[in-house]
Amino acid sequence: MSGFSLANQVKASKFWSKTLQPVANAFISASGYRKLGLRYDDIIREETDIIREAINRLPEEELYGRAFRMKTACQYSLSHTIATGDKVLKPEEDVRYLTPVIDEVASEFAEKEDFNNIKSFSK
Amino acid sequence: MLSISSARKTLNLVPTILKAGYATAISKTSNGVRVAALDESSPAASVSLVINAGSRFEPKDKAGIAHFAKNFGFKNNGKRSAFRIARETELIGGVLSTSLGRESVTFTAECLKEDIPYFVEVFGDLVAQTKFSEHEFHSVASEVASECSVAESSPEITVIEALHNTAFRHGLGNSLYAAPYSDITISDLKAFAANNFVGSKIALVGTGVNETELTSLADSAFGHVDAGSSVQAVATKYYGGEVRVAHSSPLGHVAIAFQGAAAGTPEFYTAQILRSLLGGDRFVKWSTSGVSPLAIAAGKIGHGAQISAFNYGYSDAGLFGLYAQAEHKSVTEAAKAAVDSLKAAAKSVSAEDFKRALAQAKFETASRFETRASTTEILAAQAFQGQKFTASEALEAIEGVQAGDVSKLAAKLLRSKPTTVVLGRTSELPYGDTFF
Repeated sequence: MSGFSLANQVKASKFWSKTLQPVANAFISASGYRKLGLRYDDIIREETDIIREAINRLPEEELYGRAFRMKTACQYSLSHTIATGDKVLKPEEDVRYLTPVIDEVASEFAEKEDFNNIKSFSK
Repeated sequence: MLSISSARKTLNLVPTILKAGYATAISKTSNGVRVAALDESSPAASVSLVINAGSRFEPKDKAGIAHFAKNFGFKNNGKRSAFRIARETELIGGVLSTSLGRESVTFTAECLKEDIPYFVEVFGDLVAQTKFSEHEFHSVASEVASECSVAESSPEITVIEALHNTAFRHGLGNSLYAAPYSDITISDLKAFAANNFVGSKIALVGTGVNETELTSLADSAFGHVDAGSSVQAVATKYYGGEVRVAHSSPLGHVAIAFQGAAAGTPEFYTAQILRSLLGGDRFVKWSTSGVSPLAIAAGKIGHGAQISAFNYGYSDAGLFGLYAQAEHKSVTEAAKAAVDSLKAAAKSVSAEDFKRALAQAKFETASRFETRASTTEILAAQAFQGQKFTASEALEAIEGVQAGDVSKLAAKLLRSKPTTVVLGRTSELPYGDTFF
């Protein structure tokens, strides 16, 4: 979303993706959000105009799923436990359901910004 | 300089050239998009995307879907966002509009001549690449709901909708407005667009633009639009009947319609003259009365009474009728006066009245070729009929009508089963069968 990234180059190269994938997996497991039953997109900071608009655009079933996962995570946190065994979110369940919407909204916001600051116009 | 003899030759040639002009086929792109244009010398131009997907093409279980499709015009598509279309249109000084008819839905851009290519491209994207996304659907649905509630509170619109529904039931009888029970989803809309936004159902109509130029623009902008099959609309059948609508309108409304004629037929032109003959229009501002029988009758009743005649023509059917609105206590009298003047016209039409009606009908027809919006409508109808005609040809058709034809038509109308709609305090309003 922001900053300098080599993600695409790494993904494109067989050598680098093979070398770095275990590191990435270790990082995800250390960050621990999957052990609270959350997806990566659930923990993106919500308090910006773009994210709020993106969440508004989610279909209803995605919103319910999101709220359900948040509630589960709160329960884990309150009871000072974490998920174990097959209750831990599986990597294939960690779907990026919000990121494409965020990208769409961000490009719309950027477009609006461009048009609001337009100096000259050519078709 | 032309010598007299050669000038005469040129003059003689003119009608033949014009006739050849009438016979020219409508231009089409390779995937069946029809193109019609009227090249005027004015710097302002307009281009309209007319899609044969009006309310008559709605499936029975998806009433109101055409209304949603209309409001989805100029929304996000694969190439441009709705915001971008709006801003770019503002920057180049254009005006966008959409309208829905029973036959077709129309997207129009009015702009300067040099910006026509931009809007043709936008139209191509609208047809092939509109995203129909869920979050836009919510705003479209609330627009639709507010347009419906405006329509519902307007007595005139409610009467006209009820009139069509009673006269034709399905097809042309479908309402232009979504029903309160309309249960339209985004996937229904996608399916409706896939079936109807196809080459064979599209016409691109321009004013102030050259037809060959518009055809080549259409060729590139609509190149990736599916040609589709040319499915004909279900033929319209006239039924007739009576509907009473309870409404809080301060005035009582009575509309009585009969089976009319399809637009462009000789009978339709005769009906135009009959309409002018009965009249009801006020040509002088604030005048209490006019010269036509309906205007005189309304003047006698007073207190804001209005009586008029209407003649709606569609591709395969028509509706001719009388409309009276007045205070509840006098609306029966107004409606009776209207029916009586139609009955009188069925008996005989005086030469003087006929002359006035003919002149008014001719002026009305000719002036429809003058404004941009009505020219677009005429050109679109011609494009779908596959035949062109000019203002002078339409006038010729009107001039061919005799006074006898008009009274014959009036008698024929009175023989068809009437469609009656009354609206207002129904307990005080008359019943349809009391007029005849």
